[in-house]
Amino acid sequence: MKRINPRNIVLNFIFMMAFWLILSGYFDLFHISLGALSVGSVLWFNSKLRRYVFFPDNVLVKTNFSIIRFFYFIIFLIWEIITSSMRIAYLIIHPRMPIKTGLIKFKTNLPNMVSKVILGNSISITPGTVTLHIEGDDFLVHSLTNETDEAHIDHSLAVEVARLYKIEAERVVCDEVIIDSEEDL
Amino acid sequence: MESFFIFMAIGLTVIIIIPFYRVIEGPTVFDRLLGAGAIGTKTLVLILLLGHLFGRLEMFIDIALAYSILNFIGSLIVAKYFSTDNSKE
Amino acid sequence: MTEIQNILTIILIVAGSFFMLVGSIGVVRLPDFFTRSHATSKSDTLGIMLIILGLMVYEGFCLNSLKLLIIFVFVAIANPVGAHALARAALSFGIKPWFKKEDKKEE
Repeated sequence: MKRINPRNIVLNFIFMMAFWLILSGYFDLFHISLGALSVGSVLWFNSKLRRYVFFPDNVLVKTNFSIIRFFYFIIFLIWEIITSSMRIAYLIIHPRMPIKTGLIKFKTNLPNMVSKVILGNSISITPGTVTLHIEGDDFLVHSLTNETDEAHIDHSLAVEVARLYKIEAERVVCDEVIIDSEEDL
Repeated sequence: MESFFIFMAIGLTVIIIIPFYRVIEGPTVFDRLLGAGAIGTKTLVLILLLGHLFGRLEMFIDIALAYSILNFIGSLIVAKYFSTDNSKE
Repeated sequence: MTEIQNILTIILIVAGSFFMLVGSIGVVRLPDFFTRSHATSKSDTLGIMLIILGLMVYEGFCLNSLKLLIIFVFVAIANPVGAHALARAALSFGIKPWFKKEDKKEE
């Protein structure tokens, strides 16, 4: 059980109300009052879920999330998506398919669960890697092209995610192990 | 411009047919699921283009949103079902 | 103005369908499950995003574009999550990844 911040509830109400307005498309009093009623009831149904602690590290670590960094991160991510899709398209269309698969296992020291989810999701949509398994601090990543610059790209992504939380660290990713044959599995 | 949209819708239908090979032929269950998911995400775009052709885009956008949410939740539930099947490590 | 919109829409939609075609071919051509999940999680996502962007440009700035933006954000979040969930389920189910053989040539 944890304390609820009233600012969060107001923010949540505004966000869901904007969602309702965009989806309904009517701006008269009747429809807006219906929307306020349903958003309020959703908040009331969720009040118990909101106090539940899903991951124990949610309350221990005090984090500060920077919004400006987040917009920069989104632009960075869109650029990464475009280049990665170009590379995947090249690999698929190439007649001999020069792929060399492998599994990469590494550790991170990101502060909380949300940052790990962001990192895992953005690994999945950037060059040649799909997140397979996350347990604690350990990530298991399947990579399509096992080149030398692959680890470098992972590094830059993880450093960006750490900067979202205003942490300036140069070693976010450590203990990399590359598995590229049946015997090492 | 209308003929361009009709042409793209026909092309998308051909693109949607290609992963059916993986659905029918796939060696494991996951290959079939992956093919089905790929077909679902592409059908989302086909629904949007069709809505544009019918001139009722605001209605078809709602249908596409509901369709994508159902597709996502279905794939998550099936993945959950198969991952609990053999989870002794 | 509408000429520029039309040309931009045509470019975006053709590029998007090219990436979706690549995703479809990749699902058929790549050798095992994990590599196929690369094709669906990256090429398809970019293709859908480009086509929705093209429709947004064609519609101009109105309520429909905002709704399309919601679908855009949802697809960008949900598609990699779905691919990750399926890949994780396959790994815990016991499917071994495919590795390229060093000595003998693949066909």
